[in-house]
Amino acid sequence: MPVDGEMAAEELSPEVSVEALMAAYQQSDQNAARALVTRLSPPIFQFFLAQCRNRAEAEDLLQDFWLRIHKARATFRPGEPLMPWLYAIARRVRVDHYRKNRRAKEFEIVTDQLPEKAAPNAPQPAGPKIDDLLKSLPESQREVLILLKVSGLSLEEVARATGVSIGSVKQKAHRAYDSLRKRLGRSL
Amino acid sequence: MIDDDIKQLFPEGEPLAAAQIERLAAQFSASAAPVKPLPSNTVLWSIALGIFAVISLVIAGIVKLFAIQVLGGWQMILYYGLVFLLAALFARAIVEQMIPGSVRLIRSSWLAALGMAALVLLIIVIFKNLGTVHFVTQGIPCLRLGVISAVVSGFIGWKLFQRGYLVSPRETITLYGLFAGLVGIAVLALHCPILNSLHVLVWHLGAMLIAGLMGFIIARYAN
Repeated sequence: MPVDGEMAAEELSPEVSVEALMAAYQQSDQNAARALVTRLSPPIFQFFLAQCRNRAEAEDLLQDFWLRIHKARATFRPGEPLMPWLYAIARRVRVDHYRKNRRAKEFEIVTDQLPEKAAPNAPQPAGPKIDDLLKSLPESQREVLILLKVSGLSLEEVARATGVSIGSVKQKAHRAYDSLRKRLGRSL
Repeated sequence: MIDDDIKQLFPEGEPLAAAQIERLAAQFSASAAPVKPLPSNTVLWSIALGIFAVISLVIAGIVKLFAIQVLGGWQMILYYGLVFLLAALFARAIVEQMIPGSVRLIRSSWLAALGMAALVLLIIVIFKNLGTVHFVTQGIPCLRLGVISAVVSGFIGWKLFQRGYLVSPRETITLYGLFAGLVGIAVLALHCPILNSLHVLVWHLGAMLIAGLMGFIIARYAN
């Protein structure tokens, strides 16, 4: 039985927009919060996984992401699209994580070189060239590519999430395509 | 096709375990106190601009509005107009950065660079270079007043600023420092009767640069 003002089970069907769920969550609707996590965790996880290509790391990032969403929830305005808001925060989580890792590595004392152990259930790339291909792209181009191709955002949503113009997103995507096309043409 | 090749670069891994999603959902839904969404960008922008105008006028009122008595009509329109226009643009950019996923009008770095260039150009055009007599002795009090005004406005506006979620803290806090520095410039534009272009360029604009630098340093350590 939903508490007063909370969404009933039938109101949480997939037809209910994520924006409506977020607005309900802002009003402390626990069912909406649960539905939001259930619906959005998989795509956000894929976004993190595509960036860091390490399952355990992506799971940590997802956990941190939801904590930040909780803190920042007042900055979402009902009526506005949710996806750019969400992915803008996801980007911030990833950048902070990257910086933290980099700082940690700076102070790390290398003792023994251990072979890297693959994370369980890590995505199996088609070959060793894939990581090289992705690493060959500048960070901003790789990110635009992931947001467009993995997260399935529109150009406008990517522009809003990354804080640049649509023209700049198009340019980055175009350059990333060009670069990959050349490299794929050469390697395949 | 390149699209298929690109899709192959990001193979879908094993999906997230249902148990994990359930655990996250339980955590996330446990302690959700109701929150009031922030007001629209226009409201936030108006508040920021209001804070800018009120603090500038109050401080300049306290230290006396000497500049108004010596500035010509066109000088006043152009100088005050540009400072207010820049304050409006900076405030808008800051508000956009406080809300994740907002549409950005202009990049902060571009805005800062263009704003400074416009100020330098206007100061060179509307004020004469009267040399460097008493340059430092007259300049230090101006710099001090500008920086104090910037710090005061920075503190007062911080409460509003904190309500947002910064997706680029370094960029936004530096811009916020420059915006606070604009209060310093506005106070000096209302107070300082020295119409020497070199004095205004070095000591008045210097206050804005110092405020921007303070913002940058705070952002670096806060991050």
